Amino acid sequence: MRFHLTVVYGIILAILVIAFRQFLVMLEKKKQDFRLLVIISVLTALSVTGRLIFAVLPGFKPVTAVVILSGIYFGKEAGFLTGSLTALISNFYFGQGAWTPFQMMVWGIIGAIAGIGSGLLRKNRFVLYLYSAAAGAMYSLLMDIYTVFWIDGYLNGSRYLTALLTSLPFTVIYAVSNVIFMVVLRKPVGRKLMRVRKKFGLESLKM
Amino acid sequence: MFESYHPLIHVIYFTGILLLLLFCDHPVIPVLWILFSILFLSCYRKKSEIVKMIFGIFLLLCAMICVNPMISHNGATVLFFMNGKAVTLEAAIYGGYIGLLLSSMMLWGGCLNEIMSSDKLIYVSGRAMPHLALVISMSMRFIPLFKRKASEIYAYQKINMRKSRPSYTDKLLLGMKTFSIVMTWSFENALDTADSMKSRGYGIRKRTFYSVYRFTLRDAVFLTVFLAAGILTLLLWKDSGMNVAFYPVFRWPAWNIRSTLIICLSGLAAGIPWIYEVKEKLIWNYYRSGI
Repeated sequence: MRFHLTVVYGIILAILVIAFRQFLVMLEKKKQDFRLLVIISVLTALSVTGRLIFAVLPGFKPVTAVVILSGIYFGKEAGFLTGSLTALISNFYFGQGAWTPFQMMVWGIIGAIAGIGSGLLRKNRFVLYLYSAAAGAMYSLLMDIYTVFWIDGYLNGSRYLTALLTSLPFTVIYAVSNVIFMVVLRKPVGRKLMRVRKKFGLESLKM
Repeated sequence: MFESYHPLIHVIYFTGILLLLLFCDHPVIPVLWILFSILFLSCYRKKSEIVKMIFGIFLLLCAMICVNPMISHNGATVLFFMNGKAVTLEAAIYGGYIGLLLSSMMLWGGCLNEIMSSDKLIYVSGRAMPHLALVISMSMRFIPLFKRKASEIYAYQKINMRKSRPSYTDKLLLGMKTFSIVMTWSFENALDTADSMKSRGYGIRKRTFYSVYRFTLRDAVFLTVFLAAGILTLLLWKDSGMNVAFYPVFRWPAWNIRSTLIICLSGLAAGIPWIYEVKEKLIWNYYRSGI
């Protein structure tokens, strides 16, 4: 009866494993260098530290902003890896569970999309703010799928709506806090990441 | 005790338990798992925490039994009508079952947190994906480093501000400034790390690992017993009619030798770590009483 849940988990885990393998190997091959791996681990550590520092304020975390920025400046692979590894590693502090793969997937997707649309997001800051708000909403929407799934293993439409409504305050907080963090972090962090690109010799990386 | 096993065993054990919980639709499975995991956790945590946990599970069960009939109106046995909608016995039972599943999942997470540390994850992923293990272990090392550096820089900046009593905005600005400095510093630091890794020849050849874990006989015994019990359970479960039907009428599956066997086997699979724990305690007590 709850077979669907197993299938969904199998698919998610398979995607995560394949993405990790492909992206990491690709990153190393592409640059003939592991500097990008070091940068990804620094970005991951920074966003985990941010999540830890802001743990007192529920829903208010700079993770999404950092993940989006790393996707924009270091490409979609780096965005995906930073997002999903942040979820994995910060859950060592907040508690691992069946939600970890879901969270890894969701944050990874947010970072990857930021990497794909990096040109637009870098040029137009309003699109960037809009995307940060949308990423907050997306986080809520996708994590609610997990909540509904865990009730009895089915994706029940009316229950999904109920879950969405009950989590609406959090959705709003996510969206608003992401925009606030983006407004504050966009310029200084963007400048720093540009500098890192230059100094690490990563300018050939597609942006 | 169980945490000193090989990390591979932990991964297989927790995945297997998850599969059992997901595949087998029978209240006995979550009940068994809840009992075992509470016993298991009581070896690791304080008594007051365990009591709190049991109380929480009880509350969750009550809540689900009350809430599900309000949402779902399926089922044949109507208890009473509320706002013109039927409140059925089946929905209440199903709510209780979901409560059991939810609490068993929570306990699963609790046991996992007790057993699985990050170095075990790095070990397990390092064999298959060395790059991933590298990135994870590096970020795990950076986190405490950044935190320490941040508190150092914060202290310096606070003195530099020359204000005996900084206001709330001052503190906020200070925090931002600290974050900015830490970020610059961490990238510089990472560059140094990358350069020194390169100069020591990282990536030239395949790397060898050192780890404290060793696959010993007791791991092999554990693995064999667990896999045998788990796979037999899943095989016997297949078209045994053990899956409980909740709607329209709740019906217990027939109780026969096969179902008893299934329940014993799944109990064995879920309870092995605890059985080991008790065995060791008994041996310890036996030796101590001999002194």
